[in-house]
Amino acid sequence: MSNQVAVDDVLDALGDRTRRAIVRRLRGGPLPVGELAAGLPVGRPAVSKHLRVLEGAGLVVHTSVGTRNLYALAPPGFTALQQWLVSTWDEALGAFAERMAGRAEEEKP
Amino acid sequence: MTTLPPIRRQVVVRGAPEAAFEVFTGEIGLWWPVARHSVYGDGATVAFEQGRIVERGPGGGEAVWGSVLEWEPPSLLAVTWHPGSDVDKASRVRVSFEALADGMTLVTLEHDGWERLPDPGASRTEYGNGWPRVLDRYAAQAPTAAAPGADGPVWLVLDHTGGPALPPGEPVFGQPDFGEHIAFLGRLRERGVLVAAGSLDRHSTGMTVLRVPDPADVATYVGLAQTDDGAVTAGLLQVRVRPWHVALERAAERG
Repeated sequence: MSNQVAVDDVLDALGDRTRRAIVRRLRGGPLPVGELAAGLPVGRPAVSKHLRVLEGAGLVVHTSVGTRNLYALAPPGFTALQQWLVSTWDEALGAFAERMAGRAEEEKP
Repeated sequence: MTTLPPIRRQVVVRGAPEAAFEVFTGEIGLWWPVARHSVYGDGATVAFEQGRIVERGPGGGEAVWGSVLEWEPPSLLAVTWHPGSDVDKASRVRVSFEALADGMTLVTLEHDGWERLPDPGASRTEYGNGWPRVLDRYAAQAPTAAAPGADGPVWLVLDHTGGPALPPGEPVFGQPDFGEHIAFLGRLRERGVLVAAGSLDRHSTGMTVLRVPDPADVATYVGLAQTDDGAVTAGLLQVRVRPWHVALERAAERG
């Protein structure tokens, strides 16, 4: 169940206000740590720590450009989160379809 | 990736859109799987009450899951969605109901703003041990929607667009999982329902037309479009199934 582990990591990573703020800011495109920290109420070391958590969950990747690191959103973490929500809705819609089928049977003359 | 696409799930149910809308809203307490997906778990009830979706626990607790944004029976329902958390952290769920053929409705659920899903870790704890992942269940349940006596054929259009796993700016065609999409189309052709399939541009959008002779099989194909296409399940592509109300067709195809 390696996917399950990934989903738990993603959910835990996004369970933090600052990390969600980082994700929102990265939606505009890749940024270095310094610029990320400038728009957040926490210091640069804290931002670096949060970025490591996000990277570990597959939500963020970094690339080295010269002497600095650029951070960007990464699809795998979001795909895992999406699949988790998909399974939830599939189960609910499956139950709805069953109810509609049961109703159609009841209405048969 | 600047925006994340909505989650879209589609299912075919028996009954006209009027009935489907009524059961989805007025009778949500009769079908919603509260034992697995609720704040209070087994024994809870859920209902639409005065423009809100309200869950009540066996011990008298109350949780508001969302509020109605749009209410257009029998075709459209939109609600804010924040089970187990605050209103300001809401995502949005939109459900549409479209007649497919006699006595069959295509239900399309779209969940957007979910990437802002707030404290999912906290909700998960409130929800017990997490909402289980049961992707395969969908395929098993979708074929419950046979509509005996409905007239065929039923035409479906599968709209394909780039999914969340498609690297930004890259065309879909060179991606490793794209072969899965071609394989899926091949399986549809073998089943004799594929009319045509192809891309609409050089990036990631494409269209497939299906002609399903027996309406009883429609639910199966709506399910397969979401579960049997490896490019869709991998997130490379997204699919939206649309009913196509064909009025005229080539004479040779009739019958």
